[in-house]
Amino acid sequence: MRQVRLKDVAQVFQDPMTYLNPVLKVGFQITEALVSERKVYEKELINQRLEEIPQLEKQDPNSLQALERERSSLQSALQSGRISKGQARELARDIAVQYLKLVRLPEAERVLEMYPFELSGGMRQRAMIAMALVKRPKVLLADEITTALDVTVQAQILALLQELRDKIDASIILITHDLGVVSEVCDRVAVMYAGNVVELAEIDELFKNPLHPYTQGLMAAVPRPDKSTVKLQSIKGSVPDLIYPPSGCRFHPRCPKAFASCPQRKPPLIEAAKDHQVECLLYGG
Amino acid sequence: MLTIRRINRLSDYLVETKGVYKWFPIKGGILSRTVGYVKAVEDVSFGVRKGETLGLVGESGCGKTTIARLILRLLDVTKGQIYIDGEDVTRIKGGKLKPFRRKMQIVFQDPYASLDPRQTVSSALTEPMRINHIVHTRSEAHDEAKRLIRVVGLNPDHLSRFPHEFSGGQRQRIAIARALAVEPQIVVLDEPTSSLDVSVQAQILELLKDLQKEFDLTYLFISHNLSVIRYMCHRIIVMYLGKIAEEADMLGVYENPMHPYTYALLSSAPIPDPEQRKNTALLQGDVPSPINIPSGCRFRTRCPFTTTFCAETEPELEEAGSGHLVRCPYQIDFVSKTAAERPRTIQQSA
Repeated sequence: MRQVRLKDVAQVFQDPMTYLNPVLKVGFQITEALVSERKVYEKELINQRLEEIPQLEKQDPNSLQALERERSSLQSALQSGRISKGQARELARDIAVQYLKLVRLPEAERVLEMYPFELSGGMRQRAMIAMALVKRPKVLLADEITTALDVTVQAQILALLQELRDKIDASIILITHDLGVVSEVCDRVAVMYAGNVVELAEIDELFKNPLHPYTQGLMAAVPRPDKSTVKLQSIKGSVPDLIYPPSGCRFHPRCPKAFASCPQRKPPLIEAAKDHQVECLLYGG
Repeated sequence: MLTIRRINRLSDYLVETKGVYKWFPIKGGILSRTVGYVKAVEDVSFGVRKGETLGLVGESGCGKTTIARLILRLLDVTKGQIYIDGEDVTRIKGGKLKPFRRKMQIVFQDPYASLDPRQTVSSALTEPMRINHIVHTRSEAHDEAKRLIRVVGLNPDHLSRFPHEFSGGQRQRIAIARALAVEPQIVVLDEPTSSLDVSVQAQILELLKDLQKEFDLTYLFISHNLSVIRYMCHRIIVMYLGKIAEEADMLGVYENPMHPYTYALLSSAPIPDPEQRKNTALLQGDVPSPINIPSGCRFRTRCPFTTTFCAETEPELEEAGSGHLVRCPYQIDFVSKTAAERPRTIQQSA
């Protein structure tokens, strides 16, 4: 599991105010994983720097000798497979700067030396994203990452997220209750209710043709910024107690279309349309 | 004094603020002298008409909640006046304030923090009635509490329970019932649904609309959620860094925004429709600190249309259409991204 956490998945949390350690510098927190697990990351760390050296040589011919020395020491470190903590820290720092620039934080070098309280909410969320990305994860879990932010900053972070998905070649799982955010960034959506995935579809299909009564209810319950709504349709009742979940389909006590067999049988997830799965007896099963 | 009162009696504003300022001092140094001010609210004037819902929108730190607290007299103004029902309540204190407190109530954002965990629902509802002598006997109080709890869509059985036994939506209903207990005229709703789920949010918004009709209530609705504001409000004030940027009726703000900040806010609100994806963030950066406010127009540091004029002169709030006030001297076409000076004819005739 530790290996998976190290290399494959990374998470960005909801509340950037509480998830950064207030007494450690941002730079330390971003590079911590790379440094403490330098055995796993050493190749990446070293190769990254080796790629940079030829460019630096072009820029600054005076430091040729120093760079040459650095290159040979890095290459020997690569062969021996041993890298000191100090070396790793310096290398990781370079990477951190790169990623902070990638997430569009101005003055990346200075931010590394700052403490979290010196950053605004949006900047902290960017730092959190950079922290998740330095590990080059295959899957990025984004759990309500814009809920604590203002709309203008939210729009910035969402735009950033889309841009990053293409750049870093990672999959993103975006968890949110905001249908607006979903339609803005997602490709596919799984709608969950009381512990079950009740509908799974491509984004355009889901919004054009919502099948599950819960999904339909959700969409009618949301006021829109671009149109006037006469009356919101709310889903009656509230989410059930999961210690005693309702029998059969868990949504039936609140469902406007429930019929006799709903409380008796748990509906299977069926393919109701092409690439559109739904868990509801209305569509057979 | 008398004349002022008479004039205000004539206006149909239930609540009115005139040039209200609120600066919070920052103390520093060994002698804890004032080293600066957080300029939370500056020169805010507006009125809330009887029976309407006025929306206050803006990013965090723009002074929305401070204004609400000033109106409720939970904070004292630094400068300016506040009138409730035509009476100047800016400086009145103690017992004289009590009848005004009864006219205005607030529903807070977080129903998990705004209810006393050791007080039953019944006691939370009857306490304000007893204090304000609305009821005289115990049974009268109990009947009234029963009526209120039904009004907000809960069951009289719930009266003997404690807040922890309720869900977020139910708690917010209790908070609304408590606000209504003293028969207020104006209710300040400070982000009343931002901690609730969407389906519960819809229930609460519907409830608030029904209550407004039933009891002829006036709402001051504070939110950063533009969809909710559009659904709830008749008139909207957009605030930026403590000042009013734009004020108009609902359609004026949403269909014909004039201030570049309003436009940016609207275009960054995510629309729940994948066919209308925007993929653009119009505004860069964050709101500047209210301690060091930019010179000239306070929005110029983030404004895509900024000119040298903006850095020098702070624009006035001017009338750009009937009932449409905007603090920007330019008439901007947001589609073609061109700005021209606004013709001054309307200004002069006003």
